[in-house]
Amino acid sequence: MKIYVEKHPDLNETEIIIKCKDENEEVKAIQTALTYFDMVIIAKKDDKQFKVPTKDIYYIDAFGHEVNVYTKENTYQTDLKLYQLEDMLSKTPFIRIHKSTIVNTNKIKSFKSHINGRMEAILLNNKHLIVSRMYVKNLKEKLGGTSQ
Amino acid sequence: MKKYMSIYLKVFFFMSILFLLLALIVVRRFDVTLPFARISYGIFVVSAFVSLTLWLFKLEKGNSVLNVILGYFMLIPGILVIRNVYGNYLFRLSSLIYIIMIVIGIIYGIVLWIVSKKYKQQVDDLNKLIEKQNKS
Repeated sequence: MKIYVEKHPDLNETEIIIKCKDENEEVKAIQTALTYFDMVIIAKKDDKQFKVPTKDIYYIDAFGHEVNVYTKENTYQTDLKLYQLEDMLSKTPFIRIHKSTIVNTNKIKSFKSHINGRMEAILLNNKHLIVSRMYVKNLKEKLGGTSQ
Repeated sequence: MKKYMSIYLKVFFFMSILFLLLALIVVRRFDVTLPFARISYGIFVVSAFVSLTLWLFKLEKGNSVLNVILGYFMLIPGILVIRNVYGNYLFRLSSLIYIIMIVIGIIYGIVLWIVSKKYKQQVDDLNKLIEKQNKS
């Protein structure tokens, strides 16, 4: 696969053209991955609906029947279930790190371990999120590492 | 509570085997009959303390160091209950209780060291991957 970047200062919006022989699985995966930059989640805040761009989301968590979407400064509520969001965002940098949390891996600053083996992800806004041991393998794979 | 009960169930199973083995040793060695009710009460109570230790160890809230220390202190009453159940047959010297407390402390420390080392390695790997991702 060849990747070229052409700079056109006169363009207002970034254009991506995929040139391929067939629209195979690889091409479809690239297309889905690119949707991260364009994808929005419809969420509510103070009874108003907003389109929240996925690239601005830090993490999503569920508390009872409520699913909250967190950006740098705001918190929104969505009617979607956590598993639906996980499925929707599976090809993007989002990954489940706890039974009630999905995180945007692009917003993770570092990881920290505690004496009892508890693992935490520290986000760019200094929010600490618990990482369950059972999701570590998937997290490693998402970040481009091997599962071992 | 649900998590605690799930831990309790597993611990109860292993405690039943442990208490049965201890009872067999005492019965064989000293030729005495042990009251069934007292052993059953011992299994219930010791399982509760051990489960509490494991629950505190796995707890995701609060200070992890404090949870670990509290967990160790939760094990001590368990030893006293075992002494109460088997009496002088198992702990002939009262100083043996202190020795067992120290031995349990050492085992607890080793488990802690292994767990923290294992997850420290995973965290280091994840930090390297994040660094790599942020650079690219």
